[in-house]
Amino acid sequence: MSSLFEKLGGEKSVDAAVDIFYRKVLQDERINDFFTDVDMDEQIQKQKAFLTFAFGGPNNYSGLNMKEAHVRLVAKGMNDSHVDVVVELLGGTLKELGVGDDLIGEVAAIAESVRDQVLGRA
Amino acid sequence: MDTFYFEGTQFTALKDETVLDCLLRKGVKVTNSCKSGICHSCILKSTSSLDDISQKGLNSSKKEAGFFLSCQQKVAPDLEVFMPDSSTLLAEGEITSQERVTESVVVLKIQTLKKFPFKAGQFTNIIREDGVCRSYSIASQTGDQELEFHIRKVPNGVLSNWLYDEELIGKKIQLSEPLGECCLNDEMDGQDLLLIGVGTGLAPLYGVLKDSISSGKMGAIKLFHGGLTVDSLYMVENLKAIDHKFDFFSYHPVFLKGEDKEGFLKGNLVDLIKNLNFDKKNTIVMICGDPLIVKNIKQSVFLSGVPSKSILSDPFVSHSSN
Ligand SMILES: Cc1cc2nc3c(=O)[nH]c(=O)nc-3n(C[C@H](O)[C@H](O)[C@H](O)COP(=O)(O)OP(=O)(O)OC[C@H]3O[C@@H](n4cnc5c(N)ncnc54)[C@H](O)[C@@H]3O)c2cc1C
Ligand code: FES
Repeated sequence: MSSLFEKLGGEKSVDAAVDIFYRKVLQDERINDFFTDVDMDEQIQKQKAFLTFAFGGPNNYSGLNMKEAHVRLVAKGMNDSHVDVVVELLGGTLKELGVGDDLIGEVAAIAESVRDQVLGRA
Repeated sequence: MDTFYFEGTQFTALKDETVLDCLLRKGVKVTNSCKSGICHSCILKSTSSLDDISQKGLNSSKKEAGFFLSCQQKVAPDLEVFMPDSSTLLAEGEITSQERVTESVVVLKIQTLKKFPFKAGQFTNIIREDGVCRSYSIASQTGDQELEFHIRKVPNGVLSNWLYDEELIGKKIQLSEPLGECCLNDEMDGQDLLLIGVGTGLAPLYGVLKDSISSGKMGAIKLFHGGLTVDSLYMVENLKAIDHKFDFFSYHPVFLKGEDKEGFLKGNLVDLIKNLNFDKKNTIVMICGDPLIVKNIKQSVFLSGVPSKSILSDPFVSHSSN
């Protein structure tokens, strides 16, 4: 039985997804204010770590640094509605890459699992 | 309160202070410039365990030897810090030419006294006798031993005014090891190149251009050079001549303010690039110069469909503007 990460295509699929995903984030007026003023190279690195995590891959993400990484954004007003958008764009990215609905569901569930940490509630 | 040791002497830091800030506050002379982890001029050495971020971007042999960026390292209890032997990190050079090409730009040439390996597009730190240190991009071709720099005098800027105003031929300065990723590599062979320079952001691109012409390995090359006015653009004749000589190369000088002029594009560089037609999937884009313009162009080029790994940039950040 191969893992979710393997089914999605591993690191290669993260590389393919990161540009599509980050382009969606930058162009979505509901959330792009949180991201447009930050250095792009740094953002790409961060999005890569996030996607690897959401794809069920090997990750260095712990609940604590999830929280720390988003303190600045929460202070700027990031809330549940913005997390919803991120999960939506993540789904859209995978669809574009031809991933099936069941796997998209699994990815969304992993992303959901850190919602409280991201928003500083846990 | 955290204390640490520098060359055996104990120092007490303020809350969250970096090693660099603490030492400077106590009057210790440590070379520094960007304070943001880019220029590596603040390198010190330590035998203690360090934060990952303070070794980010160092090569593995430096990491193993305990080198770290003192502007990125927060003081931690009992950290032991030393001044590295500068002779292993710095090279001496002599200024051989100083040509003022516009009201505010000077083209400097520096002969290094020993071998100075670098790749076109990289930058180095120029360090004056009194320790003032700033980063400048190398405009020479890979392999040259005479290094060319394009330096723009900024209002009240300490080093850029000195380099422009004083007579410096024959003067000795020090250079740090070259750094930076705005370079060509073998994986890029055969792709097109879109070079976008703002002001003296032309410098690293000029080196890259010369490299690609002599290697013949790149496809079509476009160079956009942006300045505020026509008079602020430099090397125009030189670049026009290269444009005439090679079919695969085109040169586009762009200015924002002033009367229309033949052979120049008038307009906003950011918009111009936004509307530019080029092969998004098969072009390496390099963007250098003013940090804000670089950031804007970078984002719009990325949104237009260029893969993030094909976009390289060198924002010329200065320590007080970031
Ligand atoms: C990687 C890298 C490569 C660089 N390459 C080049 C290069 O090839 N050519 C080049 O000319 N510069 C380059 N720079 C910028 C250079 O390092 C210095 O920041 C610049 O020359 C100013 O130094 P200064 O000592 O004259 O001014 P400082 O004494 O450091 O600054 C004096 C004042 O001028 C302001 N200031 C600084 N820069 C600017 C600016 N651009 N416009 C308006 N005000 C400013 C500062 O905020 C400050 O208030 C590069 C920077 C980096 C990080
Ligand atoms: S990297 Fe520390 S001052 Fe530039």
